[in-house]
Formats: sequence, structure tokens, C-alpha cells
Amino acid sequence: MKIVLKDLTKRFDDAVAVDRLNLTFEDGELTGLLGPSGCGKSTTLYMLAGLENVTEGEIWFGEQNVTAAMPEERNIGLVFQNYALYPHMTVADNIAFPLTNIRNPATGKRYTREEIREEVQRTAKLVQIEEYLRRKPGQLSGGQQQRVAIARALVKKPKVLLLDEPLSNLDARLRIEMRQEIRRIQQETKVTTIFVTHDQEEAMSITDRIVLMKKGVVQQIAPAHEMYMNPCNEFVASFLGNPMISYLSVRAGEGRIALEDGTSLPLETGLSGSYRLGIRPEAWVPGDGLRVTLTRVEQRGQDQIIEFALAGQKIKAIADAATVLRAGDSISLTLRENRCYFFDEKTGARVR
Amino acid sequence: MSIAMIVFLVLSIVLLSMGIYGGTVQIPDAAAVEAGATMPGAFAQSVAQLRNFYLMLGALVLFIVVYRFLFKRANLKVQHLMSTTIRYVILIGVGVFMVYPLLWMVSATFKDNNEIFSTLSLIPSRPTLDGYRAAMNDYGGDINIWRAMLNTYKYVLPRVLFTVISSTITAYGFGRFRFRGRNALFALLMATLFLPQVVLNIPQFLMYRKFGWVDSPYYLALIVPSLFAQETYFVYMLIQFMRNIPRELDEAAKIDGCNIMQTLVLVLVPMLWPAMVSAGLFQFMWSSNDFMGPLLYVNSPARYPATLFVRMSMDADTGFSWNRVMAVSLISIVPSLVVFFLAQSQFMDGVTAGAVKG
Amino acid sequence: MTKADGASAVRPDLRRRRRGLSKLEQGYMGFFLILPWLIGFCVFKLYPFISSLVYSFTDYDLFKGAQHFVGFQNYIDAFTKSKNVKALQVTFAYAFMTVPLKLIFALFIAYILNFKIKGVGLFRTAYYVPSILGGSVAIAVLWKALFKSDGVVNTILTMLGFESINFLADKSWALFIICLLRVWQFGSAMVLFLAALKGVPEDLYEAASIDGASKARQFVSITIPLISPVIFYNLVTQLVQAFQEFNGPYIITQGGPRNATTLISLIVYNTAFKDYKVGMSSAMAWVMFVIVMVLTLISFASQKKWVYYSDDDGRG
Repeated sequence: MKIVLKDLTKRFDDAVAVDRLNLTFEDGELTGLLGPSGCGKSTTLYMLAGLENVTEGEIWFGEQNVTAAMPEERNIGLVFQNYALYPHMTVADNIAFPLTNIRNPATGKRYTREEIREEVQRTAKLVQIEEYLRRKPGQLSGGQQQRVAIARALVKKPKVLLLDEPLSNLDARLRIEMRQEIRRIQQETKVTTIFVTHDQEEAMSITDRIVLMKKGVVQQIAPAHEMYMNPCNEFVASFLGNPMISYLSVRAGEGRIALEDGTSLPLETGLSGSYRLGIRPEAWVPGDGLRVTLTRVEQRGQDQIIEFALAGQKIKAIADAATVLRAGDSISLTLRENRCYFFDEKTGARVR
Repeated sequence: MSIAMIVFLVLSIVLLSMGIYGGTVQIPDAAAVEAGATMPGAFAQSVAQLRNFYLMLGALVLFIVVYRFLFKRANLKVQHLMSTTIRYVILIGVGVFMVYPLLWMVSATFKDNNEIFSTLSLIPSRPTLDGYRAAMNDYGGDINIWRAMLNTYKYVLPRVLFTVISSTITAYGFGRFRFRGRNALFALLMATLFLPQVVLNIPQFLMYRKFGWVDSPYYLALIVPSLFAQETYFVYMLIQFMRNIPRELDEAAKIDGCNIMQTLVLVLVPMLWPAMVSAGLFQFMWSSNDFMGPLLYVNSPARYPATLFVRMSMDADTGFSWNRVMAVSLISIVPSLVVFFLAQSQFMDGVTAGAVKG
Repeated sequence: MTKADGASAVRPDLRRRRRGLSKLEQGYMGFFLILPWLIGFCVFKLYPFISSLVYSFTDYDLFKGAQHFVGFQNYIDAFTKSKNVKALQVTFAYAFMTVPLKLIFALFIAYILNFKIKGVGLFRTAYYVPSILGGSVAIAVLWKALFKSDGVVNTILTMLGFESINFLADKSWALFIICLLRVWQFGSAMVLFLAALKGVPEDLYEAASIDGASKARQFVSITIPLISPVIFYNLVTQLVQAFQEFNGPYIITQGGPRNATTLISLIVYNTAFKDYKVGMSSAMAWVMFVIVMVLTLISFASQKKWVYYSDDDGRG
């Protein structure tokens, strides 16, 4: 099911939560709505679900304008942040509940007991929760509860699957496992899926495309790799990547780049003027360029995060784990051009 | 739904119908048999009487059908408006039903006797204090309204005090200590919650008569049981409250050198205070309204509390001066009203605290 | 005896270190604390309870003071004498009219109040005040004034073009009026329902909405199960109270007209204090007690089937 948002806007009194969103979600895609709190991602999701009223604009599911439709008419599945499982019903009943309210599209009549049982079995198998069908939600762990929530959302074979920060209540280990599960399930069912998160790693790891939002406005729409490699502005560049990108105010001219204190950077460019230079941590490689003294070193096992100062700014970089570095060490570094980005000083937009 | 539930439902409906129709069955006695003595006859009578009622019911059903029809056709904003309007209409309607009797009562005390039942208006056309003047009647010098009120508080106040104290101590014993037989005794305590007073009235009466407590000037029959925490509901409520106070506090107090009673008074009571106040307020209300107790144990008019006095003033001359009766009634409930309005939130909290945790 | 005690027998100086009472002694202090209650229970509850059972098998007469064992005669009379049978019928009718009506009203109004209503506090108070005052004699007297043949309600009826009804003297209506007095006091049950409704998480309704459930379905499948403990509590307490109703009928109708409002509690009272037949009265009281007990037990037993307790997510 293809989803199109046309000039979608949401206003709360005076504040604009979502500002003229124009988006298209292709059928079968897994899209991540990413952004910091308050950026409007959850609001957009809830408008898609029909749980929030639309102030302006339209929502289209395929050929249908569903902007005014009630949630129960939209045939969507929604996984809530804290699952919202019915505590007094067994897992099986929870999953079956949607089927008791709608008609079987195949037969046009209400679902029979057998049909319901079959569907529940099928879906439970999909999310791998069959052994727990007789239990109540209160007896399940967080991860299991989430699987039930997903099963309940999927049992009616919805056109759209929405997930609201599905992994934020899980511990770190489980988060990684569950996000893979979500990806697997989505690929098996091929349902158009949109999920909201504030965790950039999550978004990058499983989505087909990311929609990055800030204060109600879309900053960039792109697959993870591209968004990372080609951020369109400072915000996007800062949001993706861990450790975060570092910034320096630079003056470019005559093919060379100089910092505020006059230091020259081992980088070549055709630009001239004042810019903010964003440097990804992995842009720094050992070589003849700058000699720096490390102020901090953090061991990560697979690599080391090193910190040093340039023109008064803290710069973070990633160093190979082969040689153990320590604070106070002096090393020589140079820069890889393709991980450095030039941003306009005033607008933050990417220049090169 | 299981078979048992269905059976229970059917049974209750059958009993209900039996009850309603049974209400029309005549008791064989010397009086003449009326036309309405047979069940079908009585039913027909009721139907005829209720003809207009059924008409109104039909109108209501029609209204609901039309409303739903319009609702489905309306857009979101209008739907919201419709729902909200209906809600307020219902709330205000029922609210009037709740409050009107009380308001009428107040206004009736200021009306002329003739006027009372002739108009619906809450404002007397010729306000008068006749009702109140007549209320001051002292029935031959033994008892008047003020005396009656005083009598009431002669036992209500001690009862409230004793109940709160004894219930707290008992709740403390049950809630904080382990001793042999505690569980059995606690079960016994719970059982008394369901023990109807009606079963105990007669033996208690005979027993108190032997003690000489009947018609006691100190209302002993009404006060003494409260010394022994016999109002189980409050003990239960306080035990529930106590569950929420961490035991660590008791232990901290012990380490600080408190003995058992000191722990209770200095540490637990301050935390338990809202529940105790609630208990006190409820006991105040219930005791002030107690009718059966005084009916059994207060015989001389001079000792009548307000509840008996109100009934007496109603019996005294029925059909004549209702403004007086209303005035007497109103005066008798004024203190309860005042207490209620002063302590509203405590009441609400007290009710929910005792019950929500099953 | 704890190890420390044993040690202190040998080393007296160790004893001085422990202040206060031992755990065991402490436990027994609890017993002393509840002793007043226990004494009170035995004297004011247990003894009367048993005596009343004993009396029910005698023909104890208050006036004459005679007492002879009569076996089950009183109980037989309880179920055969028309006066008694009628009282049972009337009480059942009363209870099964009042309790459902009261609970339905309470839940209905609580449901409406649960929406964002301006002046919730005001409405809540308005509904709650009757239940505070309602048990009093004053209100019973008021009720009589309202429903007399020339009372306020009839004034309204005639204004609306109906014929006036002599409520209190009409067999079909009198019981209903007493019932109405109780139902008018639904405030206390409503407050409990309101608290329970507020305890149901909002997102469950949202989830149900997504799952295609209509508002009505949501109410039945989600709201009711989740507030079932409070429904149960209200049901049991109201049922028990309804069976013991005394003030209303006694003051408003004196059990009339023609015993149409004579509830069991009235029969018990009259038999003992007007007819002086204490034995018979005790038997009737016990019959009522057993009925209430049975109903309570049925309710408790049925809990498993329909009441959901959130800390009860074990098997079943």
C-alpha cells in the first residue's frame, strides 16, 4: 500500500508540530521516522493512525483519502510504545481481538472460531510466540510482550504497520535482537511499515529509508547510507553517526583551508570564504598532516576514541586499536576528503 | 458466560418478577377482596396507570433512534458538539433530580403550610418563620429540638472518639504483629464485616437490658461497644492503610528506643492520620443518622436524640404542619451537612481508599 | 530460644546489650493490642450471635418471659405463614430492583463524568450529598412529604397532565418509592466507579480503536473487565445493605400499604417488639442472615469467572 502525505500540517493552538509534510511511502517499504523529541514524528504517526486530527493537508492510502477516516476504518496495525496489551485477556485473545471486530475479507462474513484460531496460530508463529498463547501479558517479558503487540497489529493483515518507538523500553541486548526481528517480520509480510524512533543507530540498521525531522519539518529523506555520507545540512550530519561529527570554523581560499588560529588543515578545496567544516571521526587517519596532542582516549575494544583540541575546539576521532594510545601522546593525522563536509555558516546547509 | 452465570441471571429475573407481581398479592385478612387482588388484574391496573409513562418511554426511544441517525451523518466537529451537549444535559438533569429534594426541603421550611404543596417554586411567595417557630415546640417540656440535638451529640462524639482510638489500636495489633492464631482471628474479623446487625439486635437488647443499659442517661448501649472496636469496617480500612506504611519505619522507631505504644503514637499515627480522620468523619455521619440504635435503647422522650425526635414530630400531627416537620428535619441534618462540606475531600478519599484495592 | 539467649544465660553481660522485647514477645504484644476487640467480639457479637440461634428454636416471649424448646417450628412458620412469605418476596423484589438500578446509575454517571467535563467537582458533590444524608430519618421524612397524595411529585404530575398517583398507598408503587430512596443515594457507589474508570489506561482504548472496536465494544470488552473488582465490591456491599433496609419502610410507610413494603428487617423488629415473639423473630433474622450469606458466597464464588485482579495473572 502506497502512502502519500500532502501538505500534512498539525497545529496545537499556536505551536506548529508538523509543518506541511509532503512524503511518499512506497508499498512494502520499511521507513524510519527519525528525530529528536518534539520534532513531530510521533504526531505524524498518530495522524497516520487516525488517533490525532489533521489540521490541514491530506493522507492517502493508495487510492483512498483517509484523512477524515476513523482509526477503525483505516485497516492499520499500530504497535504502541508500551504495547497497550489488554491485561485481562490471554495472549491468544489479545491477538484475536481485532478479528472479532471486523469481517473476514475473504468470506465477507464475521470470522468463525476456527478461522480466528488459525489466524492467531499463523501470526503467533510469525512472531515466534506460540508457546505463550495461554499466558496473560503480565507474565511475559518485555520482548515477548512486544512480539504479542506486533502479532496483534499484523493479524488482520493490515495495509500499513505503524510502530511508535517500539524498542525504547527494551534493554540494549534485546533492542538489537528485536530490531532484527522487526525487519524479518516486515520482509516476510511485505507490509508497508513506518516506525518512529529517536535512536539513529536503530533507524540506520533496519530501514529502507530514513525520514529525518526537526521541529515539524523534514530535513532529509534518504536511505541510511546515503544520509550518512551525504548529509544535506548540519543537523542531519550531527544526528547520524556515533561519535558525533566535529565542527570547526574555517576560512578557505586559494585551495587551502585555515582555522581561526591560523593552523592549516591537510585538506584541499576549491571553495573560498568562511564556512563551518564538519569532520567525521573516521575522517582522521594516521599520516603527515597535523601533529596533535591527545587530551583523552576511550577504549572501545574494537577501536579507540581519541580527543584532541584544534583552535580551541574539541575534536573526536576514531583510531585503530592496534597501538594503544594514551592521553598526552602526540600523533600525526591527516584527513580524508570524502568524510568532510562544508556547511554555510549562517544556514547550516551543505555547500560541499 | 458460563451456565452458572446464566442460571443466576435467570433466577434473579424470575425472583424479581415474582417480587413485583407478588407485591400485588393480597394477604388473607378480614378486609374485603379488591378487584386488584388477582395477579392479571393487578397487572392490568398497573398498565392502565402507567399508560402515560409508557408514552413517555416511547418518546424517549424515538429520540434515541433519531439522535443516532443524525449523529452518523454529522462531521467530526458536530459529532463532538452533540456528544458534549447530551452529556451535559444528562448530568444536569440527574443533578437536578439529586438536588431538588434537598432544596425543596429548605424552601418548605420557609413556606406557609397551604403553599407548600401547591407550587413547585423554590422561592416562598410569602416567606415566614412559622415552620421554625413551631419547631421549637417542646412537647410538654420534656424535649425540644435543641435538647434532642444535644442528646445526639452526647453519644455521637464519644462514639467517634472511641471508635477511632480502639480501631486504630486493633488495626495496629493485626497489621504489625505476628502471633499465634492471628490469621484465624483476622478471618473472624473479616467475617464480622458480613454479619448483619439485624441478627444481633434482639440478643443484644436482652443482654443490655440485663446490664441496665437500656434507656441509660449516658447512652451506654450505644457507646460501650465502640470502646471495643466493634465497627469492623473501620478496623479493616485502617489495616489497609497501614499496609502502605513501610515496616522499616517501625523498626527505625524501635532502634531509636521507642516502645510499642510510642511507635504507634509518634510514628504511625501521624502517617495514619488521614485515614483516622476519614474514619472519624464517617462514624460521625453514621452515628448521627443512627435510628435503629436509639429506637431500641432510648425510651424516655427527654433523652430522645434527633433521629427519634424527628420521627416523633412527624407522627405527632400528620397532615397538618409540614413546614414544621421540614424545619425539624432540616435542623437535625445541618451539623452533618456542615461537617460534610468542610471535609469533602476526606470523604471522597476515604470511600475510595477502603474499596479500590478489592 | 535464640542462640543469643542461650549465650546470655552463660554470659549475663551479653543480655544487657539487647534492648526492647524479643521477636516472640513482640508478637504477643500484638495479641494484647487486639484483646479489647476480642473481648468485645465475644461479648457483643459472638454471644448474641449464638443466643439468637438458640432463641430461634424456642418460643421465648418477651412479655411472659417463658421459654420452651419448639424445634424447627419457627422456621416452618417462617416459610409458611403468609405474612412471612410475603416479607421474603418483598425483600427480594426490593433488593433485585434497587441494587441493579443503583449500580447502573452509578456506573452510567461515572462514565459520563469521566470525560473532560467542566465542573466535575461540583457534579460529584451534587451526586454524593444524597448518599451522605440519605440514611437519615430526616430524608425519609422528606421522601414522605414528596410522595404524598398531595405531595410535590403529584403536583408535578398534575402539571404535566397526568393523573395524580397515591404512591404511598398504592401497592404497586410503594415499594418502588422506597427503592427510589435508595437509588437516589447512588453517589457513594459512583465515586468508587469514577476512581476505577480513571485507573484504566487511555492507550488501551486507543489500541482497541485501532483494532476496530466500536465505543460500545470497548466498554464491554475493556472497561468492564478492568473495573470488575469495583463492580464486585459494590455489588456485594449494596446487596448486603439492601437486605437490611429498615429506616425507609419503617418511617415512610410503616410497612404498608397492606404489607407491600414490609421488608424482613421490619418483620423481625415487629415480631420481637410488637408481638413480643422473640423466638420467632430470631428465626426470621436467621433466615435473612442465611439468605444474605448464600448470596454473598455465590458472589464470591462467581468472582473467578468474571472479576479480573491485576495481581492475579497466574494460571487461569
